[in-house]
Amino acid sequence: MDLKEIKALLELIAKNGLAEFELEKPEFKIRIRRTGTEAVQVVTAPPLLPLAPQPQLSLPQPSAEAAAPAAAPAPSTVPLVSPMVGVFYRSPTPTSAPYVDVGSEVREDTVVCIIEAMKVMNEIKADVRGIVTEVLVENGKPVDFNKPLFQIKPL
Amino acid sequence: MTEQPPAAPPLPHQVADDIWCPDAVLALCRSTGPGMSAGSAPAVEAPMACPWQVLLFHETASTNDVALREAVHGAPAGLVVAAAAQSAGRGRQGRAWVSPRGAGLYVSFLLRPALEAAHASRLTAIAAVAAARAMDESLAASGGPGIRTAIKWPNDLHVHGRKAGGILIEAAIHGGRISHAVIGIGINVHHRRDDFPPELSDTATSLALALALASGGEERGEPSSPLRRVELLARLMDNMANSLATPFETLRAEWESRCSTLGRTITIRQPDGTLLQGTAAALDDTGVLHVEDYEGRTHRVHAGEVLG
Repeated sequence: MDLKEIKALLELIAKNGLAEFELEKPEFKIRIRRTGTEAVQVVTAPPLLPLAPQPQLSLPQPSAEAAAPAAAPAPSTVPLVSPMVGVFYRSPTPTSAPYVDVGSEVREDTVVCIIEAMKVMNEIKADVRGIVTEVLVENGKPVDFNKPLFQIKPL
Repeated sequence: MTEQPPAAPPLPHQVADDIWCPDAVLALCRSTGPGMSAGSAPAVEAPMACPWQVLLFHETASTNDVALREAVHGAPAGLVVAAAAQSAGRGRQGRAWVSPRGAGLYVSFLLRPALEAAHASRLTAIAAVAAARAMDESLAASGGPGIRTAIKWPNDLHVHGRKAGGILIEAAIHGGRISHAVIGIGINVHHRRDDFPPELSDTATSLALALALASGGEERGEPSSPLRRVELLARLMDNMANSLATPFETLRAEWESRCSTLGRTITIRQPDGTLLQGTAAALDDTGVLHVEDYEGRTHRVHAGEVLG
């Protein structure tokens, strides 16, 4: 399942006014939940069997009548969540400048922070092109799995 | 790199360990690559069909930096960068690591493990156990049998209660998974007591000092040690391959049994500066230390420095 398919799925769900949607296949699981009115959270587990063929999505086609005219607006910013439990660092060393700040433009492979767990320094990539609009965690603080770290406005 | 990094300080004494002499490198080439063991559930599903590919330096700024740069340029898993000296050795959060010329061994392994980010800390146990075994083997082969390297949580390598080595792992996370990880291991091999800066002289040691102590010899007067860094490197590569192919539960058991922190009353300085006191009670399956404070509450510690 690639980004394009996820995007198509998101549009479909927004059109139908669904609050939550879950699809589970042997190779992957995706859950999309609308929280509030503007933010859409996407939680997706990577395939356990990377070599398995990607199945075609068999979504029920929405009927024309079901398309709600008052669909939720497209999300203006997306959260970048922590992929792990650890300690959040905004810069490579205590004295150096932060990797990114509010207003920084990031690409998919831009390092935005380090999360330290058991002396493994994990450089976290933005995974999206956009502008950082918010830094949500203070330097040196512990973070949990899925804790939002930044808000990024996709470009 | 056009800029020349500052040179590592030379050792004031000579060691007989000509690290990358042709014979030594030939011996190294005989050591095999990391073939998968028969075990069906290795600690890390790593695409390790390749043998180790080794880059040897007399001196470089930082072996981790070289390996990370190679990783970004697409180097495959299995790259090993080894140096006899580092001019800009690093520890956690950019701290300097004392790496004088001629005394230590600095090695970085590039891996591309099929690991979720949430399991990245397994690499710590894999690296710490591999390094501890390699150090024990080198000591035993050099006349110091029975010395057991201990692991101070999470990954300091201690011999006779003093720090003889350290590990710094740097991983790149893309989409919740590790795209590559570099495991850097620094081991003090030939250092004498006065090779360490004064602030480390009570807490640091080297394999040579440990050998001298084990043989009852006077530590300072030892003319040379029989240790060979190229042998230590070969043992590191073998043990790293072995660690990667060992089921994680087996590895964790050894990590725990070597962990000198467990069961002790400790003080931890946490990354935000606060101190936590209590008993180091357990390690969970991700390697997180559980500390029980005086009021019986359990704290899960992911990072910090054990002060004593």
